[in-house]
Amino acid sequence: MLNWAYPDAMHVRTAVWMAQASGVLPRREPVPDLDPLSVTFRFQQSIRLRDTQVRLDGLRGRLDIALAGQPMPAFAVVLIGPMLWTRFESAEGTMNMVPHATGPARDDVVIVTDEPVVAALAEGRITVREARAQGLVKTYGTSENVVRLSALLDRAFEPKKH
Amino acid sequence: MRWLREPLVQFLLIGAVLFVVFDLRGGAAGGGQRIVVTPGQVDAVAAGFRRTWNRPPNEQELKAQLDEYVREEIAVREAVALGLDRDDTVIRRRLRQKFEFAAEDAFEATPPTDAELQAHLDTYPDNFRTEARLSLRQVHLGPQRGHALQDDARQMLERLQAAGPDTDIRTLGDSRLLPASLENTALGEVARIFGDEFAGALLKAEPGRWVGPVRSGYGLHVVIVDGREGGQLPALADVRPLVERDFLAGRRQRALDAMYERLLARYPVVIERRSRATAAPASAAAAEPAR
Amino acid sequence: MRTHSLRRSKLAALPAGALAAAIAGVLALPTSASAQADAGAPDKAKLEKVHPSKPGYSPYAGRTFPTLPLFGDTHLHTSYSLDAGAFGARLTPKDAYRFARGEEITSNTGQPVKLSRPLDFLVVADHSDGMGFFPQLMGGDPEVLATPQGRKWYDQIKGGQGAEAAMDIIASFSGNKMPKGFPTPGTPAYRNAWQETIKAAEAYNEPGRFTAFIGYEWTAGGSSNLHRNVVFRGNGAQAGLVEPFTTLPPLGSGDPVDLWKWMAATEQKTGTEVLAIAHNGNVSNGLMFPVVETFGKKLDRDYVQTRARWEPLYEVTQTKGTGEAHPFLSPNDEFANFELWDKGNLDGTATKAKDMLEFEYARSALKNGLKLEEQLGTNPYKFGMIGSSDAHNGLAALEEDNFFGKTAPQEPSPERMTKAFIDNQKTGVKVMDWEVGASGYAAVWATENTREAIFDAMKRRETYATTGPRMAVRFFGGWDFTPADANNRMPAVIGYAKGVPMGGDLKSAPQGKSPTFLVAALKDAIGANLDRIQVVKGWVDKEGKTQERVYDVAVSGGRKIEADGRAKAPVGNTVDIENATWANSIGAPELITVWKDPQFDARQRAFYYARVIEIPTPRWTAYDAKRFGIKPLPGTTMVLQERAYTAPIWYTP
Repeated sequence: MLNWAYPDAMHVRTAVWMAQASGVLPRREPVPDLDPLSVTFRFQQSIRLRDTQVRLDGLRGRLDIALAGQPMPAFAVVLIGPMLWTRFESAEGTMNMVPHATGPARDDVVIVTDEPVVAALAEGRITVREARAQGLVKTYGTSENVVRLSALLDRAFEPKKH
Repeated sequence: MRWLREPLVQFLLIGAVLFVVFDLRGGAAGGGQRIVVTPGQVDAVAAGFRRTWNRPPNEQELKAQLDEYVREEIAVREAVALGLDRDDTVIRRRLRQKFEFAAEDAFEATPPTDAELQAHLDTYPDNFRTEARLSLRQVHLGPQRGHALQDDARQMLERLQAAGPDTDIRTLGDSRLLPASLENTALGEVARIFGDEFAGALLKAEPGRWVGPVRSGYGLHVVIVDGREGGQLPALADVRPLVERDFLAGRRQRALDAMYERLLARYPVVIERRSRATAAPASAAAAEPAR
Repeated sequence: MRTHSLRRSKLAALPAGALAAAIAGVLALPTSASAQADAGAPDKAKLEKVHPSKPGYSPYAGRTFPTLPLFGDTHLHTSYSLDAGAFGARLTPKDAYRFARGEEITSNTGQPVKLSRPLDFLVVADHSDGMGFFPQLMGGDPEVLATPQGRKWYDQIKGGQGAEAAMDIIASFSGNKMPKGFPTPGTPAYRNAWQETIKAAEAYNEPGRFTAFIGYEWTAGGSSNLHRNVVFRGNGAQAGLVEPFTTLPPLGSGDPVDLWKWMAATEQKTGTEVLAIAHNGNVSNGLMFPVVETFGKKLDRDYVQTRARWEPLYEVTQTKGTGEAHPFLSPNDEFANFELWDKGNLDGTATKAKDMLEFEYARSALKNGLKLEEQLGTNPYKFGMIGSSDAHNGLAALEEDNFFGKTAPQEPSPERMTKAFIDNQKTGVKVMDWEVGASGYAAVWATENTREAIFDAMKRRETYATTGPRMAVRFFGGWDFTPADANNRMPAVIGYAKGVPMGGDLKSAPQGKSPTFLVAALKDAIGANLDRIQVVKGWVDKEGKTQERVYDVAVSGGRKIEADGRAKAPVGNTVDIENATWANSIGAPELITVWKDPQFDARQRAFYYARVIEIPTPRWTAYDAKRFGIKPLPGTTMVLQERAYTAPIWYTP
């Protein structure tokens, strides 16, 4: 359904596994031989989701520091694997994260990506600019907001050059 | 009736009259008053009904459909008058679509000339090149021959080369089902029957003599190409509709682009930048054409 | 007046489309069908009169019978189908035609995709209910967005609750609670969607080269699948005179009897012909091929005649399983257990009971049809067989090594083999994604590649189904075929001259004679060798009970066919599952034989059809495992023997 509101959102899925196959992203872990209905599986899933939340929060923190009080367009990130929405908005000089959002707010810029990309960003294996170039991140919104947000994100996640 | 001459009463009376007049004229929100349902519109509504039910509507059904139609007309007028069509992305996008359609209709008005189409054909020959066509005969040798297949094929080639291009091959070869000859067959079809490798080899083979062995998914073949019409550029007359379709599509896009360029000149565009918190209120940036 | 101009210019949008259609219709390319037919318009009479007195050098000169099979898909969905759109399909009918014609396009998930070879024909058969809804909704069609429901869904999708919106839309549909203004036949929105479908077919229909049929799917039965694909013989002008029949009352109906009424009215109205092709008896939970009653009415003469009139074909193999035979119904047929989907109904809300199977599978339907003919005078299940995809992503990509899945999320990715397709907690019906089959195509013996010729071949049932590969299969029945005929280098000439082709009829056996069959199969030019050809016979015995028997009639590698008509030795297996490869070192590239029924009784009704089986080859799951480097779930089928099923030849005493 995402594919309708955000054209080519499904392409991100393909980009992710291609990146994993080519080594741009770390190889995926083998699917464990678990019954999707079993308690173990669901427990595993919830751990994974929690890890993702933690990473997103970590990214929020870095963004917060990098912005240093600058305003930033509000945006919502959707991870297409678990279909998880998370909103980010800046208020009074800090970046806030709203986990488990039901969706984007009216004027949010929407970023479509997936868990492995978030993990790679958090570990510093890839920058936002590179991710976008590989099709791992797609951004939707008014052209002005998209440009501004992308520029700010790129700057925030540039590798430190000391 | 002294009270009639009271200013207040007169004032009220005039007000009342105004109200009545206003009301009669359709009220504040509505712009237009008369809704005219022409015979043509009635027919259109009936046709819609007939299309679903394969029969014309009866009086009751027609009345119900027309009631709906009138309601819709009223709703639209009221909505527009209330400005509901502004700031609605959906309506805006739809209006743009219709504007472009209308503009495109204008572009379509002038049919392309022969000279224009010929030029298009010459510029993009690959889009219109006809497919190569082959006439061929083949003798098939199958994998059931095992290790002897290659040798058998070579022997067959020698034999046929000695016998000449007109040899009757109808009793030769292993397959019952593969066609022994094809006449004037498009390359794609040759490929569908024998595979791409076979078709490709035949495209390069020297016509008029037995050659081979050529490989396919069925084994080996000794082949003769009796005729080949290469992928030529057809005459305009043969492919005019195709060229026209292609040409018009391109022209439409260019015309659309040109139109927007011209119209842009009429609309100075200003993109306001939101300033930093402490800076002066937003000032207009230089006009930049929006792309 | 602004509002009036808005109204008027709506109509102005049409001419542009009509112009395009007119241009496309005028596309008379030089016929490339020369190898196929050069004798003008073919018809059945001519076919039956073929008498090659002395074949000239060119085997095809002067022939009016079909010389090459045409391959296509009669059952493809695009973003115009409600459920396809809900799953994220964005490809349109135009994209689907371009792909089928052999062009490389980008899939819904951004992957480049191209067929190994173009198809010869395609029917884009989107669901009639809600046709075109998603493109209109998301494209901001004012008709749709004018309704509060439409607006709500639009906002939901934009606001990230796409999944909820999709569920809501589909639930509203099934519950018949569509809001006013929802595209139903008669509304301008619906008309637009249908016209767009027609325009796409008209634009890509190229007589002699590629046939694009106009059609749609009538998706009836709710959870018990009774779906039919409706195909038009004619052009856009004709098809545009009607609108598709839907399934929700009051405009539509879920009873096939009503669909047939619509078809009769449509032929009257448009001046062209239509036919209907049912599929997926295997998930109809016993309703597809009734023998006693249907929809509360007992089967009568009227029903059997009408069904026979409108449904000359059955789609026996597709992504949701193959429904020719079932091991429970045919315990002696070791090839009956093939790509079965026999756990329940269409959405898993009900499980399967064994007593349903008889009314779901093609072979038992063919058998019961003989009995019904005895009882009621007409055989309602006298159908030819085809395969098709039922793909919901606009891509008729069904080769095992080029399989793009049934839905957009099932396009190639490391996860597509490991998830569940249906997982109903209450009933326990679970169907895994790996069980989706990379199947099938329809093969038609048409005299040329045009709508009329292909449609006519379908009407006379000269068709066969394949599970994906493009083997060429001939099947002729007559009284006078001799073993020497199998050595003839032009079996088709002999076949048409001395007998009837697949889909035909033999009647009143001459004294002392048994039916003989000339059957031949040639492997797919880029495919696997053949294991064997079989003939499946079904008949009504003297007690009035139906019987069946499978005979091996031609086998590769010189294996012996025993007196009981079976070759015991299997063909072998060259498949390397790890690497997803196989070798044509076993099997034969072509098989041909003449077979005579050894147990014929001229008083008993019977049918015979040919089943051609390839050597084992890797299944799409094996290609996925290799390419993505993943381990399949335990129990995943990794190898299969592809096959073809011809239309039967019927014998009537």
